[in-house]
Amino acid sequence: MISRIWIAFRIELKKVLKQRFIYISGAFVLLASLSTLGISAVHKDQSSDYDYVVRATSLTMNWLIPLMTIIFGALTLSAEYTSGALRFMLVRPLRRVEYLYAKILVTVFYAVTLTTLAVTAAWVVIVLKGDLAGVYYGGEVLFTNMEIVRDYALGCLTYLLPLSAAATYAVFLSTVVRNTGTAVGSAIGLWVVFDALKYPLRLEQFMFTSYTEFPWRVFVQHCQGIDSYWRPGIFYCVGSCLAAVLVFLSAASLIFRRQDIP
Amino acid sequence: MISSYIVIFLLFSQLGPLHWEPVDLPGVRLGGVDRLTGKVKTNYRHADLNQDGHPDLVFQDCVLFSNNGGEAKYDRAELPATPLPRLVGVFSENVYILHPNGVLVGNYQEQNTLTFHAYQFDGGVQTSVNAFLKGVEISQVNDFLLDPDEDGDPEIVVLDESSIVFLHCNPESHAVSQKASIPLDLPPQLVATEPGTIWPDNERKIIFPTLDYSYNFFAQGTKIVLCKREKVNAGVQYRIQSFELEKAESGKMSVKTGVPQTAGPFPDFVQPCQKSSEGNLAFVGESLVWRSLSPIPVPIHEVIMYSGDATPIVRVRNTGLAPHSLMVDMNHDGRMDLITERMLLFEGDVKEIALRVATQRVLEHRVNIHLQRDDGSFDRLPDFSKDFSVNMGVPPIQDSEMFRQYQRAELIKVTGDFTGDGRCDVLVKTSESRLSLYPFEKSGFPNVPVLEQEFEPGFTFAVDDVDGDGRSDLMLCWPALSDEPGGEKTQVFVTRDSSP
Repeated sequence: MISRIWIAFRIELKKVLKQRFIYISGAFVLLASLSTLGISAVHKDQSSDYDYVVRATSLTMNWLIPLMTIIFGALTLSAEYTSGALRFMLVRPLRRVEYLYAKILVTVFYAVTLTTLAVTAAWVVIVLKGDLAGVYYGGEVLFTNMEIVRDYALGCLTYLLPLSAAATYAVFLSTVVRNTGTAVGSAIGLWVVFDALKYPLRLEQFMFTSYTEFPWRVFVQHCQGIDSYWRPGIFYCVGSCLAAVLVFLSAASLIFRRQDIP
Repeated sequence: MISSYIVIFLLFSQLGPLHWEPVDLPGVRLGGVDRLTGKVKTNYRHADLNQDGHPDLVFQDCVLFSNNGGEAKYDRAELPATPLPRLVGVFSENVYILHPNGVLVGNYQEQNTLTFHAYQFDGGVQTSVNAFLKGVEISQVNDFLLDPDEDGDPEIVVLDESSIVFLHCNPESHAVSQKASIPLDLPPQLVATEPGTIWPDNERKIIFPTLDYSYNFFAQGTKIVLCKREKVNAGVQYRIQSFELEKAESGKMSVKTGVPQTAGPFPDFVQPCQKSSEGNLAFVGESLVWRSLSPIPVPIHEVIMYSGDATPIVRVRNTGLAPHSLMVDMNHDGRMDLITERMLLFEGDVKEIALRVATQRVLEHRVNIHLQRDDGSFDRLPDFSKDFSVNMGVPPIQDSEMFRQYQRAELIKVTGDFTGDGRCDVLVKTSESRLSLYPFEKSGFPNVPVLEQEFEPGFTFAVDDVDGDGRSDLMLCWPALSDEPGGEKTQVFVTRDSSP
């Protein structure tokens, strides 16, 4: 089963690499990251330029990449429903769920690629043009550069969880909604509704939508000289994101396996 | 209306180890907390004048004698009328009234009455006293009595332009005479004045530069410390002069002057405070900046503490506005601890902050306690933290009175010891009508409050040990329920054990 998923993933990846959308979204991420240079100038002046990384990360990781991932994921199956290509895909010796898993893996791979691009764009600029000297206040080192880099690296690892949850959520919706426009619209719309209701219903700790920015919180707080902790938020983050992945994966598998494909 | 509070109290009171019981103490007023000492400003002082083992309350104009074995019932006795302005203070079992013509010293007689003895000023003393009385706040009972020579008899401390004068009431001659004097060698500073116009002629003013005579005064046992703030290029510095007072012959006191010291330079907002009961000084400052690493600027509150030189011993930054109190001796070990607070409302990126402001009714808030170490240092990371959920009723964007109180740091008080275990507890207004008490234990704070009680909504509250039983009590104030213009309803609730 795993080898069949791997083969399907590689085939789907080749198909995706032919789409212009992914190159345009990659360019968007790069542009967005570099545009924050207009707000946070980066100079070789012995003072740290983490402000630029914070702003670039906020813009790309908290907004652009989740949005792109949702759009990409919502299009994966719904586009093939609309074009009728799905029927021909499933003629191959491949189970439906294996094909679904391959689609989810492609969506996650797309999200991880965008993340790598954003991370590179943020850090290469300050390595080449700025300074990384730790966080100073009043001549006192509050956090060394190594601590800041470690915070960011841990943030990158943690970020994979909400990203995977977002990818699974979007692919799930694309199994339910067959029209591409409706799938994208409902994926974004429901995300907004979840976000708007989580605080009034006191569900914010259990909603995976709360955690797209959480992985960067410690890094951002440390860059401002504020002590911050991973616990207990990390437990809620891991729990709610894994739960979301499981729920959407199971629901998508159930629906996709029994679905009548025209 | 008071009866409705009592009915609500009876309906909602819970069977816990403690409860708050309303008592009739109409004259009691509790004010704000001194941020650097953790002491509550009150309009009374405790003294066991009738020696029944239960403290009595001394006000500016009267004394409330405890009655019925401390069952929060009091007999009122008026203090004698004197020329104004006057100061009232207590020392041991005596009441002292300092007024422009002399001093009245009252002690207890039978049946809850006080007998007062008049003392007249010696020549030269009256001028200093009158100058002092004109400059002090007289709406509260004041602490103008000290015993620096530790002979059991208090000295009246009076400050004039050139010295600190210690006066003594001589019971034989019934005269108030000078016992010691400390010259203010630290020169007053010129204060920057507003620029004035020189044209046209009829609006021209001659601006006289004024002198700043304000000093920080610390007394600990026989030691007196004076600090004078001075502007320097890099901020401010403090010149420190210490004095040791000792009892000398002929009823006078001798003054030994210590070596003058200079502390700083510090940022402008730094002030001196006593770091421990041994009188060690620290220099503490706090600042608030609105920092913008996201499209929404968020408040960042910074506390810096110095020991004497320009290198801080601790610097703590948190997201949020100023806390209720900065320095409180939380575990009553004689060392002041640092309190910081964190508003989790402002954490995260712009989307989460905007969502919280627009939709979140229950706000999360964190109180951090940084205990002072044996060597006087503090750790930047808190020793104890506790998260509280505060129900605002409506989201912050609607700017409710509850949210305004939250911004003014009026919802959390850390200065009261309600359990009487010698550790300050945290009292939180967790909703419009509810107070929750979290005791500070050796291991930190429990997950559930030890006491939760409902009151008539819309109150503000203050905390102090009103009945003097060693456990803090509550004073609630309902500004919105006021019928008369400018008035407000207040009610004192004393802490009692629930078990019979």
